[in-house]
Amino acid sequence: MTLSGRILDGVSGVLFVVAGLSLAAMALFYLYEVAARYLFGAPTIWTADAVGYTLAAVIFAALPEATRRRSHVAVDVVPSALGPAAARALTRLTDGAAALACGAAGSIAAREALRQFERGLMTNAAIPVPRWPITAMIALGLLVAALQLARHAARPPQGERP
Amino acid sequence: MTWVVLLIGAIGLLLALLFTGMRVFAAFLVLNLAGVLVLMGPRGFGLFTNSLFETATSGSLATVALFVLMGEVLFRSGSVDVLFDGVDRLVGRVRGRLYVVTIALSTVFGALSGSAVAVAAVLGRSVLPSMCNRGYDTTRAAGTVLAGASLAPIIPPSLLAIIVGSLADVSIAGLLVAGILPGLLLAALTLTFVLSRAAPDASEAKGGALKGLLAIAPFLIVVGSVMGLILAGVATPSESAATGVFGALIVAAIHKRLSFKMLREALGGAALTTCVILVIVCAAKLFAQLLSFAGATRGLVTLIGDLGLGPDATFLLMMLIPFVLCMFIDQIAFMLLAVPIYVPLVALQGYDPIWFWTLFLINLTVGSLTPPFGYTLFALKGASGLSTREVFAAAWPVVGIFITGMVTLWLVPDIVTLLPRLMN
Repeated sequence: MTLSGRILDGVSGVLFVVAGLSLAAMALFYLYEVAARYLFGAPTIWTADAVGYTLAAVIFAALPEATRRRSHVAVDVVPSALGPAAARALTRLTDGAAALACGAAGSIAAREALRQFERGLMTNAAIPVPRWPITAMIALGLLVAALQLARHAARPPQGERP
Repeated sequence: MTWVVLLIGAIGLLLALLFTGMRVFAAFLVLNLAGVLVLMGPRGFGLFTNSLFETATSGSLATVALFVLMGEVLFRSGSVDVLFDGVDRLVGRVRGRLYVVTIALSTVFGALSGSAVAVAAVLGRSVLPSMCNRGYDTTRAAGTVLAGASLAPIIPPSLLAIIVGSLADVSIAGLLVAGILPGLLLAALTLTFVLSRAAPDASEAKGGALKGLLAIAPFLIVVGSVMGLILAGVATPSESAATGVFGALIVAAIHKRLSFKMLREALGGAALTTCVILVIVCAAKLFAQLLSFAGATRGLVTLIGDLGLGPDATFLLMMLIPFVLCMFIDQIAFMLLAVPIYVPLVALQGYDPIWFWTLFLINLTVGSLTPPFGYTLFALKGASGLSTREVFAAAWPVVGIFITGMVTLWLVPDIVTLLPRLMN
């Protein structure tokens, strides 16, 4: 594997750990809320919003690793009906198109994160927090996933049947 | 009629991208980026990012992530094996006992995983070979597994119900509870069908009903911490998913299977599954806003009104479309395409939203087990090694059973609406 490939997989792996930790945090936030409300009569005003932010981290931090593992849902009726060579060519084509779409979406989100940072935009929540870190996580997930897709399109694993 | 051209163009583009095998989330990204460019130009990109942000931070979708984590903890801790053994013992010596075991297990597994494909894969690999080895009819055994697996999206906690509730702005707690009686009805119909034709059983019951009861007793903690807390009004569906995770950890500890390694694997598996499901929702959510912006939502409502179809004919039309399309495309992808179009029509026709969306979910499930392209069929074929012909032969009676069930729910809507009404 090339150095750039190892770096890409390393970044995807680190983001995947962030996704797992965010999921654990999400469960703990809600458990704390139920306990605080029913055991101590002291409901919080921050858990619902905090859970939302961690959900964004779960989805978009896990996106590059899900893409690397080819875990995404696809309708493979047509590719599986084709011969191996044609199926491989079609898969490379769709991976390339998906990489472009992900890259475009990621760069749009990155520009928006920058705009939010410059303007100091906050979330519309009981305890407002800056919007840009969440948008930046969305952008990062999409951009790294785009690179993974581009790698699939350029060099699909040998012997793989799409 | 510009909206008609745009709507047909959008649906055509999406279906074409899906059929090339493009990943579903990427196909929706292409559709929505193209839609924003055509309708608003680059100035609409802020709306695109906003849609990703708002969907990804939606508290109701956190429920999906936490229910997936609960299922992962139970599967990876091996607690499901204990459950399997317990149900097997509890069923005891009855005619066609493995059919009963399969339906009972499917109901429980479905409740734990919420995914028909997952249940078909698990049972296709475990119970089905055992049934075939013991002389059960292969077609009927495979049909029982398919029917059982198809209960998963209906019996709570159903991931599809949570996503529909979130998209259509319908009570998620109501939708979850509404699935209980229809799920039991469909399970009973399937059992009646298979047992009416069951040959005397060559398999040996394990015996020890009390031992079986003790084995499954800890799972009541999970059921209680999810449905019990929702019904008692103690926790919201999202919070009950977190208490369900806690309950699953307790069950794993009772079975002495709680470890850091298991927890790490469960978190990784759940994060991956959550991402795969919810990134599609995030990518697709803007489609509803674009439909509305293009005037398609209002145009469709006016068009259906002008057609002069009665509520029953409209209902049949609205059910026929998912039935056909879900033979070909993924259930979640179809839902994201159809729900924004259906929401105003449901309001226009005055259907009870809980009743309509529950039947819609069952219909999606029927579509996904109808030959030749149903997803659940492929999962069973992949897991069991049966031939395509055997899987298709097994599926047709199940399709018939589920359609019978749907007709019953259409004629007797109280089966769906009774529990949500009592809960309120």
